[in-house]
Amino acid sequence: MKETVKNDVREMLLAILSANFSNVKELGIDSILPRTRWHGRKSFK
Amino acid sequence: MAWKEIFQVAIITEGLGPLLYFTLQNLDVVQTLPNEIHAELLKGYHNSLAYNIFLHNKFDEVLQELSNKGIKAMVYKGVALARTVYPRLELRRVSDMDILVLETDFEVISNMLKSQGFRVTDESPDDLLKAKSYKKTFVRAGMLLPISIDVHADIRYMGSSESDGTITNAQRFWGNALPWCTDAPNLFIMSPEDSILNLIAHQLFENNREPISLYCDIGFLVKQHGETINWRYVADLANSVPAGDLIVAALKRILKALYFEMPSELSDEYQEEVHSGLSSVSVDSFLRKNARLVHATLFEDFKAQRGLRNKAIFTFRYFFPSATYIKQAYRIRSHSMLVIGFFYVRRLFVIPLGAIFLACRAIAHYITVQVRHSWNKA
Repeated sequence: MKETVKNDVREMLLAILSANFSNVKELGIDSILPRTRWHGRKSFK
Repeated sequence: MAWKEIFQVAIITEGLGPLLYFTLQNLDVVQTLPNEIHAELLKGYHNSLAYNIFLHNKFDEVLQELSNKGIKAMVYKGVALARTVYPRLELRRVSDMDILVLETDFEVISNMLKSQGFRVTDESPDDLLKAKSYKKTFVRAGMLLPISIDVHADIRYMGSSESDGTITNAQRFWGNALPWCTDAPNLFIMSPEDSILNLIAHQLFENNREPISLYCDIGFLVKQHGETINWRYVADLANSVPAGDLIVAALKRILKALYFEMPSELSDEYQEEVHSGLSSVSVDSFLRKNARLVHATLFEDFKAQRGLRNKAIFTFRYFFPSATYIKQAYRIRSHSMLVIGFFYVRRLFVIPLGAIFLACRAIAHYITVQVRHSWNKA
């Protein structure tokens, strides 16, 4: 995996895991996506 | 979603598979995962559950024995976090147990563990004079898994044991410690404030990384202890230790990434106020804040050596430490003397160059502060 892609994936993973600490849980996973640079990319490949 | 990549990073690089599964379950999106990813995550979750229950049971046996003998011990890092701040035991990866003990009990505990079948695997002294060891790693081979326990007499991630000149790190940790449970009065866990600083310093300075697992550890600590965390203590202690700026910057990054409200004590205004107070001793404070932690600790160890002879031996040892030290410090796996010799030579060039570079930056910083000061006066 390329380093830039790996960083994007890390950011995405962190955003998902942040649901444990914020009100994301109530808002649902869709509220996480727009917070990351990765949003809008269909695939990492 | 690129679940395959997320799965790869979560499980293989970060070891966060169980926590990812738990989070996705809470978000009600587990059903949308591709079947093979779902199966792998579930399998990893169950493995982690079985593995952690087994390990924590074994650690409990040791803690029970310590409690029976009336020996004071403070549990910190993985085991303490898994048991006290994570919602479930299996969500925090644990490979060993770290305990802090009183220096006077070090030998008693060592003998106790040896009588239980543990053997010492790492007894390398922390200082270059080979005079003192603050940590011993004990391992016992088991039917299923080896049990590993790190016993510490002091924790030096944030500088040497007498970094502030009045109280040792260990004394501070003991003073702030919280009780582990009601029926074992001599067992403790580290306070959330000390844990936050130690976890960050450990990852930044010992492992040179800022993994997502660190974010989760801090996140659950802050979530669990919420309003009761004394942020002023955290900010002031971080500002008083070498490389404290790096610790505060990492803490702010973590709190921001997890959408926690930023405590006012970590705000830029508060930090500037603290740092403006330090600028009166500009070069010294600059060196303390910008030198690599290992160098600041080393300087304090150097000052602690009595007499010119000891200082000279210390300096010689610093440039020419044992081959074991070189192998550990540079993570060399090869036994070739040629490879080890290369790092001895490299050390001879890199250390003076680093020191000259740092000194130049400190002098430049001093001049800037003086110019700014006279400009403001004018």
